[in-house]
Amino acid sequence: MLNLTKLSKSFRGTKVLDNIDFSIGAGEVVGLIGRSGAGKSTLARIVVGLETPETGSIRLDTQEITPGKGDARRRIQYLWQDPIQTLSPYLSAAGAVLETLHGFDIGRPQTRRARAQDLLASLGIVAQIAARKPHELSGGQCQRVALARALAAEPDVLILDEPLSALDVTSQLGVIDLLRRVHAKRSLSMLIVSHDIAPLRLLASRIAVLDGGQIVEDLPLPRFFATARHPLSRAYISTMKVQSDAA
Amino acid sequence: MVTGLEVKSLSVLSGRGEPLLDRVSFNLAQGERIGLIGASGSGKSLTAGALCGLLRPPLSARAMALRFYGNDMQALTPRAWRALRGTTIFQIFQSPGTALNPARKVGAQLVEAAVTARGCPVRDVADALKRVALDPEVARKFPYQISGGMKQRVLIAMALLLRPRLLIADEPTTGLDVLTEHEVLETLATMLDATGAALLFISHDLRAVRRVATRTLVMEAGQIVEDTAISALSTSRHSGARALANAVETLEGRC
Repeated sequence: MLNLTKLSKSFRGTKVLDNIDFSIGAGEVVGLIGRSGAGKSTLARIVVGLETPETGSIRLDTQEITPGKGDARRRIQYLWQDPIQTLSPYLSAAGAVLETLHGFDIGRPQTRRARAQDLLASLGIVAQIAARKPHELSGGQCQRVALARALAAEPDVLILDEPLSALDVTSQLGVIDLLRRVHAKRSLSMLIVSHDIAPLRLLASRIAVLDGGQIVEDLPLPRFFATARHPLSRAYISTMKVQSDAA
Repeated sequence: MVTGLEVKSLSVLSGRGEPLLDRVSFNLAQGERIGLIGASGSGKSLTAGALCGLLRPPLSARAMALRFYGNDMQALTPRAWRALRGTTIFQIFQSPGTALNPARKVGAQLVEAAVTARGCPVRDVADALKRVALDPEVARKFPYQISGGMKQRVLIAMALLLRPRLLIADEPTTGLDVLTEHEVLETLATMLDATGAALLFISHDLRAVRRVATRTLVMEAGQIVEDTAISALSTSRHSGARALANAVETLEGRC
């Protein structure tokens, strides 16, 4: 579905992505994990045209694309890390979804409002909440509205940059459950950028580890936990073990 | 078991007299490690502020008893509070940068803490940095030259030098990636083992709390709604506490 070939990017002389080849299959959910500053978000931002790579190409299906331009702008949607800052403070939840429907000319104009309400309701945002603006919503609710706005574009690929890191554990579980349902219903391809392996265990079918500008491990989920060899992969797996259990 | 900290019916009132903390009571034994968890705005940091004498008008705190190893903390003068903070009760905040002087190198700040508080030999500074898994070269750097996780470990090294009897850590790993969080919590445990200090670990994240604490207090709307061993949280009578435990169990596979 999405193929990245020989992608490179530097910041102030430091190579963050170094000739990376990476792909996401149709309907596949891939978790991309790495330390702060490893280049995970840079890779995600390149895919949606928010950063320009120094070298490399990106193909959607078989066609080379310019990220953020033409139909790729609709087909690849991006969910930001901070769910509150991602939404316009001037638009209600319903208004944010409507804006996307208008912008991409999706559905008949007279049915768009109902379509936006239905989409929000399917993600647990009822009409009363849909009338509220971001500052009147919780972090978890903002994340749902941002997801509804992205899904309104009817994308083929959803890029999620740390979608859970601003949420407490109970809200995290709610969003994880939501993403699983969305994936089951729409068979979207997803790239989930995370610094934490625990939610990826519940969401991803494959885990890739980014370190020193390279993908140092890339394995299907069960094999990752059983056979991953890179020290960073092992360190992430070890964070799932609780020291106080042994004490 | 020696009671280190005794908190009995602690309330904090806003300027308009509204209770922001409502009759909070708990005891912390010598060397015990407990977590204080709750959502944003539940009163966790206000509790820490009240325990460190850091609340300022219009906020006011009152308690039936607030004792530290038998001494009445409510009777302390501002000068006595200053003598207590750092050397006896040490606090680590979410933003470690605010606790360090931006214009002085890390080593100088550690030396100052060690010498003025306990008269530790200067060589202990390098040793403390090593024990929190930091290169002694960090001593030559300014705070802005090191990462957030390293700054937290510098503060833990400072606690190693000062050897407090109680460490209050207020969201010390929030905003750190999970591996850095793991490293910071490991060094925190090393520091507690070395000093025998008790720990009050404040966090909204039960996953972090259960790595360092064995008992937890759950706060909701200014009240403590549960006080139990972390291993018993999943069978708590309080639905919010159970939900927290179940969420962690689902995320990590067990609790």
